[in-house]
Amino acid sequence: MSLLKVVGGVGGALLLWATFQSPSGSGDVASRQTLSISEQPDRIVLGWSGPVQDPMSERIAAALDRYKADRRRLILILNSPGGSIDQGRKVVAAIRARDRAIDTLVQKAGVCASMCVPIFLAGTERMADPEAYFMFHQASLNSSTRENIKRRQLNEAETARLSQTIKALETQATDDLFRNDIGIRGVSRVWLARMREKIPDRDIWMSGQQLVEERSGIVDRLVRTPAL
Amino acid sequence: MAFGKRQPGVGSAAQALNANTAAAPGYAVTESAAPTGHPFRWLIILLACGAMLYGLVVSYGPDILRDHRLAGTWQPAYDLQAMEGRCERKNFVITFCSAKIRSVANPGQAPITHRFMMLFTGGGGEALVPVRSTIDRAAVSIFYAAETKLLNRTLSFVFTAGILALFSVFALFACWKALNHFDE
Repeated sequence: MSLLKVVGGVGGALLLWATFQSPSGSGDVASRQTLSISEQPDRIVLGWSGPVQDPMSERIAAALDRYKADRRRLILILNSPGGSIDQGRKVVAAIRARDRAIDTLVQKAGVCASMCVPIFLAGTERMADPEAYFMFHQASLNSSTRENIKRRQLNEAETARLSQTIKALETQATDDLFRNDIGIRGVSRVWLARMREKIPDRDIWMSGQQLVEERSGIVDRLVRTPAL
Repeated sequence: MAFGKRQPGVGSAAQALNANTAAAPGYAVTESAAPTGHPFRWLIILLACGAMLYGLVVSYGPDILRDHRLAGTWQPAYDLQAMEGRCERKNFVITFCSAKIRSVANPGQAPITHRFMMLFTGGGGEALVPVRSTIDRAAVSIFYAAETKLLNRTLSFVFTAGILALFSVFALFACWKALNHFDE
């Protein structure tokens, strides 16, 4: 009987302990890609949250295809830290390939950083909350390529040469990005040139309100997002 | 009366009650269990337990309620950065965690300190990802606390609040009894 009590007690304690444990996995949240779809009577809202990485273009394209015949207004809400230039261009191509208006929106306290900006600019009407955040910076090699380079045993001269080459490539990629992906419909050339001068080696954060006040042409219209 | 023997510092009140057992034995057993000691002592215990319960409910209750209301709506807040995250485990039972969340988009803004507690779990080595709710943009948290460990935090809160409430009720009862005996 007493053995039974001991077993019961230990079992109870273990059960209590196990109840307090729950699976972890919070580490990959920042890199998790989520595409939510909300169908409303007058519009379809697609919500993208996550980096601009494969398979974003496929997922966005599939969602847009799903509503190909639907005449309701299509809005793509973006919350992204940016990511791959190639993937971003594929997303822009997927949006432009649809023969219909697709509006883009960044919500209050939402972020559209780096390669997300060209995707935002692909929208027919580009809307942002005054407190939405946009970030501009110089293009850079992805972290895995940098790690691969670091692992190589190079002497000082080779390292310096490689650094110079990387810098030149990044500058070229940034110029290309500013000219072909950001400097498009309605974006002020003067503003863009000023921004290009500011970004080497630093991130520039701007709110939707600031972008409108500076007449950047990035944001077409400011909207208070809870009202949308 | 084994129960009576176990009472620490059995005083004159308990002994006097025991004298009545011949007349009403059942009643005497109940009365002998009455807590002894100066009512002031029980009052202090009551106030301490009450204060701890109040502190717990005020500091953790609203956060837990909010996190339940917003469960499933959290998305990474790329404009925020978590820093100085630390968890302190006490006797392998309770863990207090805290992290500061600062805005990278708005560096002038003062960082928010986020605190939470958990039972029977460490919390070490977990990634601190700041998140914001899609339905309440002002609600900011750490994903590990808001989503991953929400059940643990809820159980920890209920369990701790329950124990403190129990102690408070017992202290109130004991204080009342002690006060009655003190009058006699």
